[in-house]
Amino acid sequence: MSTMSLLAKTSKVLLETCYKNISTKYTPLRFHGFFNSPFLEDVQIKARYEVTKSPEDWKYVERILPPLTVPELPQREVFISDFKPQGENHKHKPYYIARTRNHMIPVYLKIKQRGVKKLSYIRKIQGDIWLLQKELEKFLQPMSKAPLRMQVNEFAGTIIMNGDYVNAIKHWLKENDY
Amino acid sequence: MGSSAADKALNLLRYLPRVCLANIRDNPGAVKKSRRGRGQHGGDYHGDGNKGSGQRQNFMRLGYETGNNPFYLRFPWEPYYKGHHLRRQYPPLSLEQLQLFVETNRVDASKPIDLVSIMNTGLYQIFPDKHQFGVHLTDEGADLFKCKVNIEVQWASELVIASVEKAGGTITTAYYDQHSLQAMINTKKFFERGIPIPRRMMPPPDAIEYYSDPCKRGYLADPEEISKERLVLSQKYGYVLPNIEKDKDYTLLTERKDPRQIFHGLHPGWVVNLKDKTILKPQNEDLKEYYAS
Amino acid sequence: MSISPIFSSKMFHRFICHFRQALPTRTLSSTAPETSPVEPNKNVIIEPRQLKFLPKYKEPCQVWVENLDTIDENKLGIIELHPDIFAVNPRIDIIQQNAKWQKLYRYVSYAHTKSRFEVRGGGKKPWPQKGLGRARHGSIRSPLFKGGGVIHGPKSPNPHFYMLPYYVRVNGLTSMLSIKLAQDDLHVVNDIEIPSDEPQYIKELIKSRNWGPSVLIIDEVDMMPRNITAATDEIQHVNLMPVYGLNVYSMLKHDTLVLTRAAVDLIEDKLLTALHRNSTFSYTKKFVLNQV
Repeated sequence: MSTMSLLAKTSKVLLETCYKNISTKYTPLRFHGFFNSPFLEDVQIKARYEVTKSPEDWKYVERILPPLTVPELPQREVFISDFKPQGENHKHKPYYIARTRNHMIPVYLKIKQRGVKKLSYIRKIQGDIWLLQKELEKFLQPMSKAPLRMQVNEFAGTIIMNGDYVNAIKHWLKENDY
Repeated sequence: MGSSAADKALNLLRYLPRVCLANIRDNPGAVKKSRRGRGQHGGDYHGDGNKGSGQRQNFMRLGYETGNNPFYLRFPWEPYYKGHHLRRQYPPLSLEQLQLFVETNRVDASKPIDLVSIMNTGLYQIFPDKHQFGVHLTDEGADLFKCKVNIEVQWASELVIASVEKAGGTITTAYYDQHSLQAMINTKKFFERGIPIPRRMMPPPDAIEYYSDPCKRGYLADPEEISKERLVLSQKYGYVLPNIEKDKDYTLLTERKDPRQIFHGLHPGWVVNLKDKTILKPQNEDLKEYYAS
Repeated sequence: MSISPIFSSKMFHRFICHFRQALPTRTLSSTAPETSPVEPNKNVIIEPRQLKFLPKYKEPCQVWVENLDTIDENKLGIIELHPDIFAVNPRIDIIQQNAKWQKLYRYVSYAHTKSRFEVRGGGKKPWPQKGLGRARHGSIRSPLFKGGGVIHGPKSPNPHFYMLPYYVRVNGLTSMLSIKLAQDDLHVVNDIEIPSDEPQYIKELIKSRNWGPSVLIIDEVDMMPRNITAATDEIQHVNLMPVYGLNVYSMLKHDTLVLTRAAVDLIEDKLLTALHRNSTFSYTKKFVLNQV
């Protein structure tokens, strides 16, 4: 009986010491791992540094930090590059083509089959996509001998057409203030 | 404008059962499974032969002339490209693109433009580990370039220098070593590392000549010589040189970095603490001497 | 959105839920006046939200802010939600890709088979090559034999980890949030303070509001109030999650999504930043393990 109680007592003590050691040494830390483990604490930094908080210097720091999101378009009368900002008053038009996050027209050229197949893509189309397709066809058909082949995806809001008409489409969209 | 496809689809979803794990699927035909062929010819190569371009490509290898001795092997070897993998590269940026960056607010022309501000557009990339040493400003759109800028690039042709100066701006070509470039390509990431801003190294021997040439507007050239060359270039290309001494942006246009400096207004050896918004400046004499020399 | 956003089809939808088969084409006006309007709580002031990067010609979505401190629903006010986050094209295919990726990236297959060389024995030629009238064989562990090795069988461990492109993950979240809002499964509450820590309170609350049965409650922070933590602890189909844990799979798994006002702000801010990033080079480049 005494041995049993002794055994129980020692095991309890053992458990407690284990628990104490574990709980003090290995406190669980959120997102803890090798890459964010603390630095060695006995590293001696011998260099003397002056900690300054001058707004004059900080202006230069802020100037070179990269912006997180795309900056807004400034109000500008004249554009020398071929960029043209989107016009207003599309609310009552039957369709609308939104600009990309970089303020550009979402028309792209996709080259496939090692330069053999060229496809022009128009993205971000809202509203009556079929009307846009008809109007585009009227504008682009004179440039091509063969009939234009267009693929309209109403759900995704895209038109894909055979051939390189990217600059023509961009020009047409700019003319129409999109 | 009618309702978009998104609105139509969302309106439809109002009357449909709840979208859950049991009723979603990919577009039909989005994933094509490779199947094992059956029958007499199921296991062979579909007539493509064994290995190589016949099986993997639908085109001939570059320069192959269907059995002739190819052009590229017909003549004795000449070392046109000897050491090309060791040469410094300068990925191009055209004047047209620069104009666009300024007009769409990606670059602030009211401040001096350098590699840092071009990298901060998020539309230009360099890889110092691939021997790329900075911006090569190319002359595409030179006729239309109309931005008054103080720009610092790593390589520029005479025409580019002329078109920038014609527009009333100034241009400098400057060299940055690889450690400096690493600090410049992402400044936020660099400051978060908590290490001192490195000092810029002098250009290597084969680049010293370029960067101390006033015709190339090198950053090591004599400023007197540069102003002389500005006039010479304007006479060569036939434009009236804008007088920057009387310009209201004179301080902007003449702001230059020290040859040891990487960032405007921040000196080598400083440590920038983004969290506390403080700057640590070294006090030890030896450190000061090291970063100044 | 073409329907009047003020009603946001909530009551209508709840009504329709019971009679989905019977009355699929009821109009809004015929059902809305049936229920008595709820007086907004005057003590709580719901401030209007400032929406960044608002697209042209798209109306913001409107949603009621509810409370959790009473069992019956108490409408506190209306806030606006960003249409680029809560009313985008419901791309079921992108949602499926996200759900599949979430299942697979942490899955490791431990299925294992032995090849003819790993199966024990089989070193000796079973019988002479010639002279017995039997087929020639070199090993009793050949795949032709019963108990022999397996050709091209599964080998363990076989991780199924892969990375989904960044913008597929972002668009998965926006699609899923839009679907939840469109199907009337998204609710916004002012905070998640409840008066009692009894599970029964939450059960009754869900029943009275016709939520769920499974509910995912999202808050901005991960240290949540004691009462709601204790009350939802034992109910396995009601779960709490911080904003940084929000994911497509959990939203699919739970019927109703409950966001706090602060969580809405944070989710919108994070996703709009992702959609309007100045530089996407580091996000859209090829994924490498152990990248810095």
